[in-house]
Amino acid sequence: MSTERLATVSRARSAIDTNKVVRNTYALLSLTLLFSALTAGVSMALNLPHPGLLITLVGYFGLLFLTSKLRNSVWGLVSVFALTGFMGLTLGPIISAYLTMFSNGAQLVAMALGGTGAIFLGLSGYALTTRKDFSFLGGFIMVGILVAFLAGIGAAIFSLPGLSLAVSAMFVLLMSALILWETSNLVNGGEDNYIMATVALYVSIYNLFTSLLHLLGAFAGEE
Amino acid sequence: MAVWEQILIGAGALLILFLFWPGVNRMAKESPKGTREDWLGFAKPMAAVILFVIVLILLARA
Repeated sequence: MSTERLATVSRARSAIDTNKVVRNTYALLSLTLLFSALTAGVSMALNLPHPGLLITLVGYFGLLFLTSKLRNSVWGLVSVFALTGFMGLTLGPIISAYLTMFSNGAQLVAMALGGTGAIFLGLSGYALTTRKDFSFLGGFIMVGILVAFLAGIGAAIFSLPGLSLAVSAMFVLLMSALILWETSNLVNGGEDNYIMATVALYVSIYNLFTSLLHLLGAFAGEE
Repeated sequence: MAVWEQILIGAGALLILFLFWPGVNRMAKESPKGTREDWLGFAKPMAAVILFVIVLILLARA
């Protein structure tokens, strides 16, 4: 076989592998979002209280580390469902609070959900169709998330609603950038593990939804 | 939030900073540098997101 033919076969195989990762990622993302919606619905139906910031953070980072460790085994799938199910459980009481706190709570939740879907589809479509390489955003996004996360913790500890609102606005932009970056990584072959790709996209959708809900509640909520 | 909970969360935040900072720092240094066109290609969808969120808030207020 000539070198040219070998290169063509190798490129075709690489494209098939990339398509497989993209397909698996979106299939797993759909399932985890459905599972998360189910656990959120269960926690709302049972009127479960919010576990608090401490348990939320311990559960989230614990399951995130576990998923990262198990990403190359079938147990990674179990772990990713545990993570997204847990996130759904923490989301239920937040939605319940918005529904009871604001007279237009149902409208705010529906708009945040629709807005999240529109942003995710729009940005994924942009990255998938243009096939632009957004790998240069990696450092910027990670530093931004770390800074926003610490500012969010500071806002929660010292009860600073203004800072908390600024963090939500930052998170909307950072999660949008994360969707572009991860989708670009998927199409350009930079990400070959669909479990970790699913976690990144799920976390961006979750944070986008909660941040939009916070902004909508602050600027358009009717108590 | 109780004081013990505030202290624990603060300590947890410092632990996360300590654990994640080396990786984040390495990523920031090793990430490819974007050209002017790359950043413009990123700024356009971000501007669209900002505009969309403003419209969403205005619609919710209407």
